[in-house]
Amino acid sequence: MIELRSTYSADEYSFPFEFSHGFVGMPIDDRSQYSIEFVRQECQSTSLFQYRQQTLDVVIDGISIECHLLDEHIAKSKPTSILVDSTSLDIPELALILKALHTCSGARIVLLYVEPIEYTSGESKALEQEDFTLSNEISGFEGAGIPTVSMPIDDENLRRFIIFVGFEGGRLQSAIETYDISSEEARIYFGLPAFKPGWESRSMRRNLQALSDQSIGGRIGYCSASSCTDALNSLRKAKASDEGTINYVVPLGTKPNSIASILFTLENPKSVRLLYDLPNKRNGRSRGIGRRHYYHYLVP
Amino acid sequence: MQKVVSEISQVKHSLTKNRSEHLGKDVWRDFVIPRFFNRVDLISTMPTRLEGGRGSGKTMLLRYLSYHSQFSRNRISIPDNALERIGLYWKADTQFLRLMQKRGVDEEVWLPVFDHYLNLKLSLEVLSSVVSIMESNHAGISQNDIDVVVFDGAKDFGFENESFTLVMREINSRIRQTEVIIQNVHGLESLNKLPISFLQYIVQTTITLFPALKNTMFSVYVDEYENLLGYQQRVINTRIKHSEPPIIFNIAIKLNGMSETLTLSDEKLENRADYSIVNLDSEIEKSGFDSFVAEIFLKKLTEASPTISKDINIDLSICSSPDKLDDRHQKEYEERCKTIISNIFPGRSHQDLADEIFETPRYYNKLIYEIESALKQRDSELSAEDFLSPQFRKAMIVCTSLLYRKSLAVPHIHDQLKKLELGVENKFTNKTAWEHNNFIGCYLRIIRANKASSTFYSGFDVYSALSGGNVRHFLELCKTAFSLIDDNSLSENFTVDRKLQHLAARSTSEELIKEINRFTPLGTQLSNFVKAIGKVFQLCQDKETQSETEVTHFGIKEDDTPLTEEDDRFFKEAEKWGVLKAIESTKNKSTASAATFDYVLNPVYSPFFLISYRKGRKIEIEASALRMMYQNGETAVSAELRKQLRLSHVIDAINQPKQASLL
Repeated sequence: MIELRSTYSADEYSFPFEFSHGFVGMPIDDRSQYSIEFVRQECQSTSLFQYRQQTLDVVIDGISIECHLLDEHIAKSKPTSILVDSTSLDIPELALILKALHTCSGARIVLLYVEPIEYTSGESKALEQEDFTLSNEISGFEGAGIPTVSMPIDDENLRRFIIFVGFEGGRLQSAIETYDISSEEARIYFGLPAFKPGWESRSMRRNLQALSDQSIGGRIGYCSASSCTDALNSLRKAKASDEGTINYVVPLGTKPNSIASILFTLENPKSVRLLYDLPNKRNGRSRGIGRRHYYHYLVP
Repeated sequence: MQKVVSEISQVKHSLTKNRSEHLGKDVWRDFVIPRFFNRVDLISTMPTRLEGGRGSGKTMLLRYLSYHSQFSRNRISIPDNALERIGLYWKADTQFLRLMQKRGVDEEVWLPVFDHYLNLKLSLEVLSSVVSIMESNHAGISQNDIDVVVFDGAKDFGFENESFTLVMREINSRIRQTEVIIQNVHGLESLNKLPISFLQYIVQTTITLFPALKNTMFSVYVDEYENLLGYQQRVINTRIKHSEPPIIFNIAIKLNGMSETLTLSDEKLENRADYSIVNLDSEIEKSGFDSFVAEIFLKKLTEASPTISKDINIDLSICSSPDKLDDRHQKEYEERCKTIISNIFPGRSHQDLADEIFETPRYYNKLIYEIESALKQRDSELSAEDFLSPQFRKAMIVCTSLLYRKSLAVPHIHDQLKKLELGVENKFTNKTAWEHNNFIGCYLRIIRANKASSTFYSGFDVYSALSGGNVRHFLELCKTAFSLIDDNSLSENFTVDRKLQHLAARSTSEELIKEINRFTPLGTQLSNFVKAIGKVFQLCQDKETQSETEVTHFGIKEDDTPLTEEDDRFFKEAEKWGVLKAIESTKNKSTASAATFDYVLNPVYSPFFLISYRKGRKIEIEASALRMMYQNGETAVSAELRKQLRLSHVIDAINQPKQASLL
């Protein structure tokens, strides 16, 4: 069981100690530029970590490493306290980093997440009005999964799909279609309250459309868009606990909810699997620097 | 009354379940056997490559052929010959299978791992099919038969057990072990890989040890073959090439989905010699799309609402029986189906549309305005009143474009109108057919400013045409149409008002356009392109003169630059996802590229752009402009391109509502 604690600050906060290691991704907007700089300040050494979808490997500070060798690679540097910037890192990177760190028992991990002030909506053409344009291209659930993380859908066992939804309704629809998800199998979570009042209605509108189109009336739940602990608790509740059911977590929502999804798979390696559609994030998808969230846990 | 209302909500619900995926693997009860079923050989010893666009019903058909449906518990009586062929359905989990590449491991190492995984998965399917038969209403196999079966050769493959149940369990456990090894790579080299002979052993032993299966042939159906990696396709190709009873390999793919024709040896997979192609889209079209969708809709209706269907008086249970296909091709039956569904989705004639313009003040004002401005532009002495012809509404509407044409003298048009009124030969209705050729274009131009009040996209025949041969699109249209009416009104009168049908078509079209973004991997480009080409067609159809009526397809010019490989890939993807349909070009080109074809935009997108869905004229567009269109979307339809296409003077549709609201 991962004991997760979370807190946030409206202004910059400096940790009373220095982290041994930091992981950051590439900056794509104001807030990720800020968060990367922050991590660099707070850590003895900071690594730029990138997952390459084409070659299915990772590049750490310019050196490529196969995903299945990542555990050893990270363990070599004996990390004791790690600050991970989840603002600039995407789900595959976070899943890979956290999985590798999970072998370092006792390590202190803090995940940083910086909210934007606003998301940019796409061209204001009639069609896109409802959709935030957050992704350039989505590999989709038909693309390759994440090495060492993805497992196939198991037809022999019962299935439960726990899905966090966000602004892009089409992704929910793809998930339902690709995996033939039925009403009974689905547990859908909306990020509520959203980062900002009013955002939830957009997310609802697009996703409810998908749900009604697919006649999914499964159980719908809510958990705070910005809370990782809330999401983790929701997952623990939504999980089917019987032996014969495999749980599939599909993080299509906010980053804090996605982090919870990853932690949840680490907590239950046998009965929980992660499904992800690898969108290619658009540059400048958000503006401004909002609240800073810190999620803290010790590797059990 | 309450009963009908609740049945109506059932009807609506049944329309949302329009993808096979929702029905699970057992589709026995819901399947409407395609009308071509007896004309194509899907169950022979010759492997089949089943191809078809999205929504053509590939998956549904494969699931129908698989043991999950053939030995469904819902199938009350199962004939003995059902055992002659047992279908095994395998859909590749692509997220996972695509991890069987790179990662520091050579393809030569991955290949036998995939082969091993495939053998395990299919062996499990073989044994599961036996269990299904035992649980079905077929008496051929009993629990006892299963209990006494011993796979004594399993030990040769390193199995610990021999009994049916334990071998099945062990296969399951090996599948899981293999998955973990594939996930983490560690242990790949030392994995005890099962060769194809293991699958052959399981199949052979199964048909030998179960007397009921002695004449059985297993047909493997690999769904979504296009999502497999190249070497994985080669493994399957090799199995197709060497298919022989008792196990035959078949595949289902989207159009243009077969990128790999090589096998593991140097041999290529050859069409006809090694497999036969069944194209679902063209088979459905040839065997009567109208009738097929009418049957599907009515079957859903009769099952969901016995009360409403009581009056329909038609037996749709024949749709589930392959022996009754001839009955379904009877003219009388087909007509009956169409009449019933046309009553639910009433249509409109051109005369109805003309009446609509006369009876809707906004449209009528616009009609007069257009005639007046044309006369003004032509400096004519005649006035709009001279063209008033309330008895010949269609002709008068057509005048809104004829009068703009410089090639036609205004008095001449006036003359012809008068002749029409007098009942003598005239160009409106004789072989020049002004009325027939221009009416739809003129109608659409008039209503554009206030599209919501129209009834243009209404009627079963229109819905069927909009669907473009795609069952799924047809059901989406019906579903949206019903969703606009509340259950109480429907229970009183089970029919969809024409205006609502029109609105439903527009909204479905919009939803389906949004969906294009998800057609990976080129979703964004496909979506860009549809928006741009739709815009071009809209501008063509908006021309005052209507000199190019109903442009709905385009040809590719390569005057400036030829098509690149990337362009070619784009057009192949567009075809694969059914966004565009390639048709034989009138041009005879020597190149083998996409330019040899003309392309029709899927008619289901036409309501969004308020353009005609009929196959009309063609416009030639430069390859470079088309490239801009898929790269940049609507902005590619620049002033320059408009000029090239001679569309500079067309008033932008987006600006038009403002203009019309002044009227």
